[in-house]
Amino acid sequence: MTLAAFYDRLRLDEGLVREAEFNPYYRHLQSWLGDPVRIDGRDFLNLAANDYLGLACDPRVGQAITAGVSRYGASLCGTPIATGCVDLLRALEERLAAFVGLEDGVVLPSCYQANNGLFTAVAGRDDVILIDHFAHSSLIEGARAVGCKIRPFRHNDPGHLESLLGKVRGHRQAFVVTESVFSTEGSIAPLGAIVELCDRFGAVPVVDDSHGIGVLGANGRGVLEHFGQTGFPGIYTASLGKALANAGGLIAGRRALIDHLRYYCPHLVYSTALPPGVAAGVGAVLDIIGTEFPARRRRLWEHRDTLRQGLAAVGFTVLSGEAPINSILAGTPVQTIRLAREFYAAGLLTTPFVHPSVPLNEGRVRLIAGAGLPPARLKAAVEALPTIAKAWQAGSLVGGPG
Amino acid sequence: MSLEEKVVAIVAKTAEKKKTVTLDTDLMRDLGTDSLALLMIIQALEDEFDIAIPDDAFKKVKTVREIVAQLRAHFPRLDAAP
Repeated sequence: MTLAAFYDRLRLDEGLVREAEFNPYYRHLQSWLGDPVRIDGRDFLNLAANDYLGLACDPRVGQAITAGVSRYGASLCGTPIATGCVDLLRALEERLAAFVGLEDGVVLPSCYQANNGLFTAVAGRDDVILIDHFAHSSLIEGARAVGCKIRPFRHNDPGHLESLLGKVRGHRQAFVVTESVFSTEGSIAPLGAIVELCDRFGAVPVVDDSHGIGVLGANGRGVLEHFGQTGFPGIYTASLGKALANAGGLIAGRRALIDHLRYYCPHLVYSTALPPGVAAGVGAVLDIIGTEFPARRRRLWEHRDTLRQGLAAVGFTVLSGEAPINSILAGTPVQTIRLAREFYAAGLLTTPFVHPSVPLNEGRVRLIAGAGLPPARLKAAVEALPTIAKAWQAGSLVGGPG
Repeated sequence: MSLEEKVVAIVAKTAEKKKTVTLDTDLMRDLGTDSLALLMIIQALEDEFDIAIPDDAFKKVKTVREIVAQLRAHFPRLDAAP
């Protein structure tokens, strides 16, 4: 046991980056998200951010944040249970819960914390958690922290879930956990069927709507609106850092649940509260969604379709998800990073996913064309796709399958 | 049906995608079995054989054949099961 051995164990394996000749992670942005974004002194079209509605740089949101900071300061320098729960934050929690159609809510500094802290607060070792095989790391790690039986079900497969629910025995409570939109492929969970199964077996449904809030539903109210779930009996979580263009994580549901979390969710109780400026920013986004959602939604879907058609036309395998996400199946980790490299070389910022974020050798490169992107710039990107595809295919041939 | 055949069938059934599974199938390399997928296999084995598999019994298995070996080591009566 030596310090040198400890640090040696932490050393990163750079083999993938060396072989792909590109590291797509932790690139340093030198600008905001408004088009173009600037990295390494170059301009890029941003097809990587989750700014679905194009509101991250909206001046009205910025003004609301500035006003929030002017009134409350940069931070309340305290946990919500102490000095961190300003009236602005509490009002936002109530407003967000009403927005998604639930009784009450609580806001944490991030959705990772929300998902990670939720389960230890509501479940115990005598319970069982059934979870979609491809659920987000925050949900999996949160469920694991409970120390109870975990029963994964095949991805988006209510038939498999039903067979598992029929077999679990001797537990106090069952929870069924899924995401609404699986962001590496854009598929939408069959939430109606899942809630029905939960109802039949007395299980509590838990849905993470991070990529659905502000995107799905006729009014952008998320997956519950999308599926007409007016009396959702379970637990709802969502990120405030994607379509809602700020930061933070929401947990919403029945009042009894939220009251319990206020005292028993350590990730809430012991974290410095969401900064008031951010709470003001989310409020401004909700105002904008209230009036501009139909137009922004239309543009978002038009952008998705334009990009999807362009990608398919040059021979990319695009996963046919229903959400406004285009995900190219790229193959091995090296092939995936190389594809991201070709996009990067062409001035297009994308997000590559490799194992363990996605199944082994099913790496993918994700492109999200937010509503804020100028159509002319997207058209230019589509025109660049044949060159990108050609360069990637040539690189794959030269470098082998990777 | 032998224990080997039963295990091969269970591993094939739990996979997200239809793939040919044999005793020599490498769980990670050939099926991309991650920790949750391994849990799925374990729970399917528990259901099939009505056993409770210890948490760390399958921690180091790499192939389907090794799953069979671990099962035999922990549950010798399984070979006698119909």
